[in-house]
Formats: sequence, C-alpha cells, structure tokens
Amino acid sequence: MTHYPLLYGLSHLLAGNGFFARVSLSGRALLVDEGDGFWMYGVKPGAIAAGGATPGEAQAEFRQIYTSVLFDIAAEAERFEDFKAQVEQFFSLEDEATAAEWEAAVAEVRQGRVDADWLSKRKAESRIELKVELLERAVPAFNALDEAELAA
Amino acid sequence: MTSFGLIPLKEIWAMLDRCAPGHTRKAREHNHLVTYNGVPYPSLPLGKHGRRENPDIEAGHVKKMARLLKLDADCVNRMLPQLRFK
Repeated sequence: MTHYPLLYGLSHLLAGNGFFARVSLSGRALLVDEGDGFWMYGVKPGAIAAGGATPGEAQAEFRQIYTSVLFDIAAEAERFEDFKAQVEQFFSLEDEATAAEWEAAVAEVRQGRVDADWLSKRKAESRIELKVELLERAVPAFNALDEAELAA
Repeated sequence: MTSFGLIPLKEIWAMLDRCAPGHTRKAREHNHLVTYNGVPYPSLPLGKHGRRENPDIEAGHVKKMARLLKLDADCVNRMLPQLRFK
C-alpha cells in the first residue's frame, strides 16, 4: 500500500438557524492506495474517511462527507456560537495513529520513494487551521477554490 | 476484508455495545454521530438511500471510527473479525 501525505484546503459558505457562516479549513489527510481503490483518512480533522476508485474520487467523497458533517452541525446548532464550538471540536479531533502514518509518509516523499505527479508539493510544516466566521456582509474574497497538495 | 468491504450496521452497533460501553449514537440528517468517552465521531454514514433499516457500511469508515474512539483492538476483532483491525 502506498501512502500519500496530503495538505488540503476547503471553504464553505453555510446557512444555519438564523445565521450565515464561512468555514475555511486547511487540513491534513492520508491518501492510501489500497490496491482495489483509494481511501482518504483524515489526520486533522481526524474523524472522517472516504473511499473511491481513483484518488480524485476519494477526494471528492471526502469533501462530500466533510460538507455533510458541517450541514449536520448547522442543522442542530441553535446559534452561531454553538455552531462554531461544534465545528471547532470536530477540527480539534486528531487521529494520532493516522498522524504517525502521515509523518512516515512525508519522510518517504522527502527520500524520493513516493511521488504523486498529479499533485503539486508544499512544505509539510505548512500551517493547518480552521476559521469559522459569522457573515454579516458578503464579499467576493470569501470565494475560494478547493486545494490539495502533496506534503513534502 | 479491504476498506471497501461491507459491514451491516447492526453488526457495528453490536460491536459498539460490547467495545464502547456507555457510548451514545444518534442519526442526524446525513450521518450518524457516535460519541464515546467524550469523543464524537460525526461521520459514520447512514447508508445508501432506501436501505436505512440495516444498511451496509464500508469497512474503512468503521476502522477510522474505531481508531479515533480508541477502541480496544482485541474487542473489535472479536466482534468484527472480518475487519482485521489494528
């Protein structure tokens, strides 16, 4: 099984109960070629996994599930503060075992034993973060494309 | 079983009843939320539409949940031997 350490960015504009919010995430995940397909396992946030026949399908499914978790939280939260707290808790959950595999995979990339020619590379130490913002006015700067890079 | 292998949801619940005593679970609009020892796992799929009674869940989701909730591997493997959980 080949392990690919990923850095990714996802941004969402969401409607909750009486509020609009923007959630932007820079996270880590481990993409694993399991022979019969690919699985993407969250490192941080760690409570998410998704599979697909190709790397692109696994990433698309991962985004879909991540989005659905945000929708679930938005549906239940009575106020923006509740929504923000729950999303931050979701982000804070780190899977230590998968994190160790992610670090090992970064070493493999740096030693030239693993590469992914469909992804650009970014320093593994790049910041991972989550921003949950209450939207009081809309500006085009909130629009952001998804990102995925190989951690190196 | 690979991560694409399928496990009936009722078998997952039986595993949690044995290996995660005191856990809570509830179906949200898109996913199940399972909480154990204060740690939430909010992304266990409901299953495909139309098979909500006892849908099959891909093993990759179950492995991930068991890891994140720090379930005892021996217990998980007794209840779901096909998972080969480490």
